[in-house]
Amino acid sequence: MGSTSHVAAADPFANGLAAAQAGKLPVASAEFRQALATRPAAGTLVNLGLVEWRRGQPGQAVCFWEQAAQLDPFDSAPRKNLEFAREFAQLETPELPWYETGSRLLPAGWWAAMACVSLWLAVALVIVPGVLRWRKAGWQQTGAAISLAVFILCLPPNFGVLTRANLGVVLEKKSVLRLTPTQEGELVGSLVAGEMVRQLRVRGQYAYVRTAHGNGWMPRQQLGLLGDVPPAVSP
Amino acid sequence: MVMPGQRAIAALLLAVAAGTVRSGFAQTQPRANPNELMQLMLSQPATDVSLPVNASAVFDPPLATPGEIVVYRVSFNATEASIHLPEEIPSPAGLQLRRTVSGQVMQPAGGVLRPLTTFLYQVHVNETGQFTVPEYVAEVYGKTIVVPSATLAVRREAGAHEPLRRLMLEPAATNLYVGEPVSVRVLLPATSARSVEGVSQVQLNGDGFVTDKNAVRQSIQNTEWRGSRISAFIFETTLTPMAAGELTVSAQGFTAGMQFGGPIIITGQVTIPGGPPKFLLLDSAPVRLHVLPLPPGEPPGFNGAVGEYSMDLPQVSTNVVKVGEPLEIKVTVRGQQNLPGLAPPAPSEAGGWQIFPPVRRGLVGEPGTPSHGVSFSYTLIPMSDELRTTPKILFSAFNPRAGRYVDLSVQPVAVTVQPNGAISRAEASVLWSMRGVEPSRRKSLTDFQKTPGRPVGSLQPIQTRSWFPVVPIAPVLGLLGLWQWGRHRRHLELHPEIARRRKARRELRKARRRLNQTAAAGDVAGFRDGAINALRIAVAPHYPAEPRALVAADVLEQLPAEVRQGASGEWVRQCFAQSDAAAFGGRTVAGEDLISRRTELDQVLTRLEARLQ
Repeated sequence: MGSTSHVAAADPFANGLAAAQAGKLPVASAEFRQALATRPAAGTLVNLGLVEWRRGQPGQAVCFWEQAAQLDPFDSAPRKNLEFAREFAQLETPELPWYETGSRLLPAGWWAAMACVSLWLAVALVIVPGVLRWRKAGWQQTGAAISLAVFILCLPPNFGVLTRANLGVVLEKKSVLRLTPTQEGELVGSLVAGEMVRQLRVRGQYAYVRTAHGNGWMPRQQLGLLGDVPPAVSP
Repeated sequence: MVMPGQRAIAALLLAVAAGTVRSGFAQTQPRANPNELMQLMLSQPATDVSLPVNASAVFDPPLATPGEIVVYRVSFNATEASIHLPEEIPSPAGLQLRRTVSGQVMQPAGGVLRPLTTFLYQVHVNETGQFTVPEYVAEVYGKTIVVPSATLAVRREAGAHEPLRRLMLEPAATNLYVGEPVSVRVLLPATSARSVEGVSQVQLNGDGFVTDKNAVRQSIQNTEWRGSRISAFIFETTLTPMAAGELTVSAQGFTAGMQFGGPIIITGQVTIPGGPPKFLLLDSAPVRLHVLPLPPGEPPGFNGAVGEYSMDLPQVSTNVVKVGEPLEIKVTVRGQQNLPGLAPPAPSEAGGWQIFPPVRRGLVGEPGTPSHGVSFSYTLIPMSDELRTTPKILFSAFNPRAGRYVDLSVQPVAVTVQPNGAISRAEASVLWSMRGVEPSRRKSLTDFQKTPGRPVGSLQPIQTRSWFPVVPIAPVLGLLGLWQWGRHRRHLELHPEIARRRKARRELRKARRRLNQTAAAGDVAGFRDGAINALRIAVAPHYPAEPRALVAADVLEQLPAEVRQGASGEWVRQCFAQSDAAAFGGRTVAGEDLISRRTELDQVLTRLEARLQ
């Protein structure tokens, strides 16, 4: 028994999965969050999103699924869940610029690695034969050209990864946009939980965001950036 | 004022009047495809307004008795909007004119349509005499048009003459409640020659009511009118009062000969005039309606339905359903009045059930029969397996005949709800929205992931981390090193003596270590050969030459003269001589003295090594 509890305590993902399947959603949420803190992984994010969705937190769920899709674009589970959630909640699918759309095709690290490798491969294929006094060959120039092309093609997606870091999800159901970054600021619009916004700048506890219907200030704690784990919210 | 009636507008206004408008209940009319509208417009004959404008003015009838109903009819072959008549028509003393109605009709003529506009003035004259309305001018299309004079003869004994033709307006009831639809008939009796013609552009004029032009019926038949049977053209529609109080309604329309503008039922023997129609604007005497407001105390579920209705028992699609699966309830409201505009009962909040807005399924039964009614269907989703009945849907209507509200609520139906695992309200809703989609293409949430997947260091992309800019620069260091190495190699190629001396120094150090080992071991032959090898290595870069090809003279030549001629030089010669003797003479020469004099060798080697720097 003691060894069992020891093993259980050591694997928060398994604990969260068991709690979720038993319907203990608050416990599952806490366990998955612990797993996320120690070993972030796409599967943990997907499960955490499912738990939050069932707890009535669509904003948190969408945020976790967006993060899972960002971590592992080859996993269809977060995409399916996002489609389902957006259809149900009547949320608009965010219209991203082409370079951000392209950056979602592969994991962010892959784009960085491809850019670095292709750049220095191109440089090496140009420089090394001269240094080593190899006879210049066609394959070297072809390889250099291809590598350079790959590098250039990798630049927009890498830029897209950088700009996507400012994307966030509205976490709370009754979030509002204000004209000024103050609690008494004039209301300029309301936001729907799960709606995607783009953080443009930050001032104190407020973030200036761009939404599909206009710009305004909203409290930062109501915004879940895709690069951060959103805080737990009691349903 | 003409109130164009449409079912949707009527239903909505009715609900507004009753103060029971609820969202999602307005019935929408099917919208025509824009292309179809365009085709319809293009298929219409062109409107011709190129002819010179003519005006006519007549009294109808031209000969009358005092107090007889007479109208003054002014007509123009122009559109109504373009005509501006004077506010006051010049009239002789004893004759009063009061404008009543006006209308426009498009006359077909040779493939085009020509407008005809008529203004009617009611004439009041109680004296006998000859009354002439003189010429006056009207503005049509911005131009001045002279309206000719017209004369009315009023005599005590007018003799037999054709009286004024008028429309007859006959509502089915004149005491009504707000929102109570009533059938209205507009009749045009046959002429004295028993000729019956149709009426077009029929309108009901007045305020405080709406008419339903979608429920129009036309017929020609023998009917009763004030106790006698007459042949008449009958235009029948439905009128719904929207305001309480006294409402005045009148009708107008153009005679249209045998043009009926829609389906018509003809019964009995009638004569319909042939030839082109003569469009004559007629009106009717006004009729008063007494409209009562709905009594206070509207029961729950009242949404403005006024009429004699009954509710059938609800029919459910199944009595056994799983949690999250849809269940359909069909209800039928029976009655005769205003069924197309009847708003369906609004589903109320029911614990454990998710209820979607009702869907109109259409009319059932034949009009006029007891089975006539309208059907609605509700889709409900049970959210718990503890439910035992469907929810009660509140609905009530006001029965004008009984003068009270009637409860027509949809009664609960017993059902069995089976468990269906954990399912959220949201998922159930989307399941319902996906009911028409092929199962393999339905969207749904995925199951829980069994494994966390490949872990990452952080949720932040590496491009956003502070150390990331250093990573792409790292290969620069390798390339710089490679470039430096190549540069050094080229330098050595230009100066090979550097490499030879470096190699010689390296090998000399090895040779001296071996020399020390052989000396310590007392190996005379090994010490001698090692010493010769070391000397050759030390001097070889200066020629340059292969060390094994060098002889004693070559070594001595590289020594300073004082060394060459001194003891060290002698030691070198002796060493080479003993080696040659051993190699070529086959003699074994004792060489212990070489080992004992090794300090001289060290001095020579040290000097030679210094020259290799």
